[in-house]
Order: sequence, then C-alpha cells, then structure tokens
Amino acid sequence: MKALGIDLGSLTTKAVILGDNGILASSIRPSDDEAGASARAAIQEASNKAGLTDDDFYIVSTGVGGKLVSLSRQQKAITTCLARGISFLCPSVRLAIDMSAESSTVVKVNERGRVNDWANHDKCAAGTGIFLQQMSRLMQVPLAEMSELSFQAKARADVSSTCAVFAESEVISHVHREPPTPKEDIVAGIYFSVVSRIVSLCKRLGIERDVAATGGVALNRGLVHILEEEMGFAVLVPEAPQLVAALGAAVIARENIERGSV
Amino acid sequence: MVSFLEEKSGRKMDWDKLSEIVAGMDRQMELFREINELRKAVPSPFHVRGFLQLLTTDYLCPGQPEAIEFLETLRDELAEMVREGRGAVSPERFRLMTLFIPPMYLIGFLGKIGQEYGAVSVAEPLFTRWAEGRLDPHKPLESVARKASLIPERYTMYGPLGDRVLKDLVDCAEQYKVDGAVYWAFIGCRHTCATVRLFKDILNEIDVPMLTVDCDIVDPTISSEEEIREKLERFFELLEDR
Repeated sequence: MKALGIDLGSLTTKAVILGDNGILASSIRPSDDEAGASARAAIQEASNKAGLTDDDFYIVSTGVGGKLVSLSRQQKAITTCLARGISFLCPSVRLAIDMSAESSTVVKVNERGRVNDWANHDKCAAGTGIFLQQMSRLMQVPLAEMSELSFQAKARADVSSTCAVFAESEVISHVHREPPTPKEDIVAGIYFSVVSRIVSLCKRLGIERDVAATGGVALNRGLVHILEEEMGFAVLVPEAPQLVAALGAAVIARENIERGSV
Repeated sequence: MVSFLEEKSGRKMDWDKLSEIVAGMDRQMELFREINELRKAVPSPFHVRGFLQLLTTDYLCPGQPEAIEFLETLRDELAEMVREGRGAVSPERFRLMTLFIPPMYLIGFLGKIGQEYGAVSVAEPLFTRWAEGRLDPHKPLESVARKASLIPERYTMYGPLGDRVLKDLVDCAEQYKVDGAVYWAFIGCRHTCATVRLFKDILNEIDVPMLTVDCDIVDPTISSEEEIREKLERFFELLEDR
C-alpha cells in the first residue's frame, strides 16, 4: 500500500505519492468544480507518472476541499500538513510561510514537524495569489514578467497592504498619473504590500530560523526576494513549493500505514 | 446613595431584605466554588452550556432562593457524575480553558463539536473562578462592595492587571490539567482583548497553547460557524499531535 496525499485548493489540486526514498510522483492540476473529480484526476496523473497499475493507496486529504474527497481515509488541517511536509523536506525549518491562492498562513513548526502555533489571513484578498493575479491583469503584465520586472525597481510605489480594493485603486492611480510611476516600481510596491502583511503575521508568532516559503506564490522570485529583504536573511524555497501540503498529507498517510491504521 | 434611591423610588430601604440577599449571595458563591472543584475531575462532568447558566445565575438572580436551589441541584448532579466517573464528553480528549465568553449563537455548536472531538471546557477563569472570601449579612452594604472584589472579572476587565492575575491564570491551568486554551476575542470588548498577547505568552511558558478566535458575542457575520469550526479543528489537531 502506497501513501498518497491530496491538497485540494481553490485553484489547483495537488497529489503526491510517497515512495521508500522520498516522492515517487506528483501532479498539479487545475481544480474542477467537483472535488471528487479533481481528486481522481490528480491521483490518476500521479499514479501514471509513477508507473503504478493498481490503486492501492492510503489517502490523506487536506486543503479547502479536503473534506469533500470521499476517497480519502483521513482529512487533516492544512497547517498540520504544511508542518509535516516542510519538515520532511527541510527539518531545520521552524517557520513556514504558505502563500496560496486565497490565503496566507504562517506556521510555527517544532523539531518533530508538528505545529506549535499558526496565524493566517483569510478575510481579505490582499496578500494572496488571487490578488497578484488581479494585479497582473490590471497592469497587463504576465505574472512571470512581473517577477523579473521587480528586480529592476529603483523604488517601491506606495500600495496599500491592508485592503485589496484600495490596493487596486492605488495601482490604477500609479499607472495613469502623469508621468506614470515606472512599472517596475509599481510591481515592487505590490510585492512589498503582500510581504508586509506576511511579515506582520510572522512577527505575531515570533520569527525563528530557518524560515521557508511554500505555496504557489513562493514560485515568484521577485516577491521572495523582497520577503528576504524584509526578513533580513535568506528564505528557503523548496523545489516544488506548491506540493508541500500534499507531501505533508502523504507523510501522515505513511505514518498511519506504519502504525497499522489501515 | 441609599438616600438618593429612597428619594427617587419613594420607598424605604429594606435592610432586612438586603441582608437576606447577601446571605443568599454568600451561599451562591460557596456553591460556585464547590462546582468549580468538581470540574477539576478527570473526566470533567460539566457541559459547555453550563458556563452561561452559571453567569446568568449570578448576573440576574444573585442571592435568590431559586438560584440557590438550581446551584445545589447542579452541584449534586455533578458530584454524582464524578463519583461514577462520567464526563460531559466521552471519551474526554482535550481539556480546555475558555478565556472570555464564546459567542452566544454558538453554544449549541460548541456542545456538538465538543462531543465530536472529546473537548470540554473545564475552566473559565475570567468568569467563573471566584476568589476566596465570605460575605457578612450583618454588614450588607460592605458585603455588596466586597463581592465586587471577589468576582472573577474584577482584574481582567476592571484592572489592575498585574502579576497576581497572571499567576492565577497559570495556577488555574495547572489545577485543571488544561491541554489548551481558547480566547474568544470579541470585537465588542476591545479593552479586555488587550490581554490576548499577555495570556498567550504566559500560557506558552507552561506549554499550554492558546487559540485566539476573532468573533462577536452576538453578531454571526464577524466569524461564521464554518470559520470557527475550521480554527477549532486545526487547534484540536495541534493538541493531538503534541
């Protein structure tokens, strides 16, 4: 029996199959309207990549749609899975910053890969992946290009860090003023507004190194660079940061298998 | 004050009645303390809705014979449960300290999630933990004043908040064998919520994690049941993993 973790997010569904020596295979797919369909598709894709022909999995699910996955044996909170996942990849991490589509979560992790505390923003779009996507549409600059642009910034434009609606109107003002604020400065300002929210969450919990960034937004090099500037030290970013929660779910699945809870 | 009230109400102060009420309040406080002692048992016999019943008894029926009868019946019921080793939830997995007041509209939900996860509130130090001390019916006015110094809310809500209060919180956590604490930070009472960080830090020193839930005591639009369920479930997983 193989351990499989599913993270059913609002934008993407991630699946990780654990082998004896680490991740055997993984998949990232856009989430369907129906949670079960998303989960099955992600599992099938990962399974195909692993060259597995049977479906003998112990599945643990997490994420916003985690409870809707009828295939899973157990559902775990995203914070629990993030802690396990990042600890599996980087045991020295004590603070994990998860930046996903709809929320930012900071998790304090102990040496056993367990959650000591957490804090999150989930009432406002500011500081999330969806906010960055909206900004990208507003500025008519693709996300990847925005990230590279930010490295050219000579300053950071003032962009609200407390409200996505205010931030949007401020970005519009920057674009349309005479002369317009340089795009790279606007992007740097947008990233800084996201980072300031995240850093305030981190300070609420207490910053302890090592610190890691996970979730899809962690792929944004420009944003991570500004995060490191504000933190004052390097932030670890795993190879596939979007998979950390699914990996953590798979780790828990394996623990259950080893414990005989099958 | 008495002359003012007599003038405004047109009635004379009934000192005998006041002494009678003070005697009743003294008895009530004794019963609160007995009930609190019973709640230390493992498993704890007291259901979450009982917290509001205790508050209401003191706020609305201080010293009344009906309140005393209710508390005596409750005490006897809890004592029987303790003798029989029965808890409010079965199995009891998480013993929680409740800080401040949970949203009124969620009491039913908290009972349900408590049963689901084996979580029970064993102490509410800000509202049900009465200081030691007696009231004297022969000194009714002084006793009414004295009661104000014995009520649980005295320091956390009215100040001063000093080391004594923080030590009492730690003592409470240890005496009740608390696994974790839940602070209901409701937006209608911001001055009391200034204690959130203080309490979290002091409980952290004795390895008791604290969950803070932003909410309102009556307005369900601030935090929905689903949001609070998610937070509590994450907290229970944190406690389980320790």
